[in-house]
Amino acid sequence: MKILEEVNLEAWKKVKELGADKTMELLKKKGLTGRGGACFLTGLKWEFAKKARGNEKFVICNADEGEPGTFKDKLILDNNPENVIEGIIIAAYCVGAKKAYIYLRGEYHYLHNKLENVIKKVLENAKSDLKIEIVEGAGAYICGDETAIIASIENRRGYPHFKPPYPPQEGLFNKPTVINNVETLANVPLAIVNDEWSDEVRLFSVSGDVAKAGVYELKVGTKLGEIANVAGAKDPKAVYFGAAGGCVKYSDNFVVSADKVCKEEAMLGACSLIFVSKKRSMLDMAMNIAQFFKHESCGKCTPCREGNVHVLRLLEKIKRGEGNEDDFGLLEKLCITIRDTALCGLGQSCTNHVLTALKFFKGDFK
Amino acid sequence: MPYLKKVKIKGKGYFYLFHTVREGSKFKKLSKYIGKEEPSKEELEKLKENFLKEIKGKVSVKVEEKPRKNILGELKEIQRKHGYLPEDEIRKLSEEVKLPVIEIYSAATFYSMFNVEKKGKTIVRICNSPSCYLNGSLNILEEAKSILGIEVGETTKNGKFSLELSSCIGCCDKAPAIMIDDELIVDVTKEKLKQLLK
Repeated sequence: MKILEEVNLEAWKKVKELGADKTMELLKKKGLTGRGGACFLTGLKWEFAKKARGNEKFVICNADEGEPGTFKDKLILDNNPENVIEGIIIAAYCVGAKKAYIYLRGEYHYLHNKLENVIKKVLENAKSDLKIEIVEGAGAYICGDETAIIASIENRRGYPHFKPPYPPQEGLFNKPTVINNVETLANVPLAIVNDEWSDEVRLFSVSGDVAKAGVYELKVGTKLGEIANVAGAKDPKAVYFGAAGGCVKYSDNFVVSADKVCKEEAMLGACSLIFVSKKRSMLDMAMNIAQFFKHESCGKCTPCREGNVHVLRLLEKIKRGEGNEDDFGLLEKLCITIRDTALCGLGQSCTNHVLTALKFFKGDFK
Repeated sequence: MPYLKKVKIKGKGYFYLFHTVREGSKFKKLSKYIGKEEPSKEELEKLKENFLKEIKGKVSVKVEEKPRKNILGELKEIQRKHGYLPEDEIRKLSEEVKLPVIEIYSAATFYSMFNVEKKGKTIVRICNSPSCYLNGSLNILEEAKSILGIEVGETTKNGKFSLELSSCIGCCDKAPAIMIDDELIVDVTKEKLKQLLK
């Protein structure tokens, strides 16, 4: 895998020669985008933070991948944490931060000590005076949202807050803060050093009804049939893009790219694919995911907190065979209301799975 | 900068100087009564200057910053040691990090990995997110229930095990997966579970 290539601080050396401005220019030219799902230009994000006023700035590495079906960051942290740390050092240098955090999800506790050692080693070799602290989460899905991470590090409840102000303007402790996903930061040194590096190549987490679940490095734009083939999917009928991304109907020729997925009203997000085979009922899947969101809604805003309870209740009613045409209408209306009125990314996307499943697999619900 | 404003009270006009200052995260509006007649331009400049001098000492622009030490690590340590977060440990921590007890409780009760009530010595979390669900997590859950003789959310009578359902634990490639305390256990089978829950 390209993402696991070792750079051994080559990029850091080059960055020091180039200077901060030229590095960010280079990253923008190479087109490195955020891999957490929002696909924002990384170089541009850094520039905002650099230009923002503040006597202190921070870099946060978001290693809280809680999205069901996503496990690419674990692979990177397990096999090539050196690149991530180098990415953090470069980010901190570019924006002028003296302190960085790695927000590691609680479930990845086993990586903590290993990371601690790697940080020490890499910082020493890079002769950097940056301080990197690992903060371990404690099992909250919402803490993958950037504003919720900030709240969590500040010892508050992990509630997200309204944007703007965006973190590059006002983030951790009200100071300009850059928050990047693990995969993004791991790609930073590679993008700087390798000439043939391309933003199209991404890590796809493939799981579900497949024989060989795992992380595959593929180009965006690969056809679903190809992915199903390498992963050994059994009679696929639908593909979920994580829990929040919604699903699409499986077809061999479906091109997996952000805009194609978006056309089907789903979201590609962090490239996690959960294959569902033909023997499954999409209603059961919808109930499973609705349970997940009911549990993981943080409770800050009403549409998401109350709405998800009722989404599950309606699905259960349909499952019992008591649903009528009105209930379907109500369910759809409720889902759209939650999507349009919730505060954060989680709330806005938590009903995608019902809406897309109703669109493609209404037969399963009756 | 301070600004002049005519305030109408019971039909009569009074002139006030207003100035908004930021105190920490809050805004404060300060005012000073000038008189019933509008001051001339030069007078106004002087009044403004004096007003600023007056309030300079009163407003603390510097915010007293909260301690920045993150407590999640400490809370995890306590949870690991006791199996839950006992009140006196939280009080001790509160003094140590100089945070009010209520704020620590407020943060701690947000996370599913912390318990403020006593739980079993070992917490078994069974992942039931889509990938594990598709690979038979419910069978594993049933097996765990029958081995331990408890329902989800309960603790065994000897206080050894608590059973919980969990959201995705990031082991979708090796589903079904469970978490026993801090340890991730992947490719769980019924036989494996029997061994683990002895």
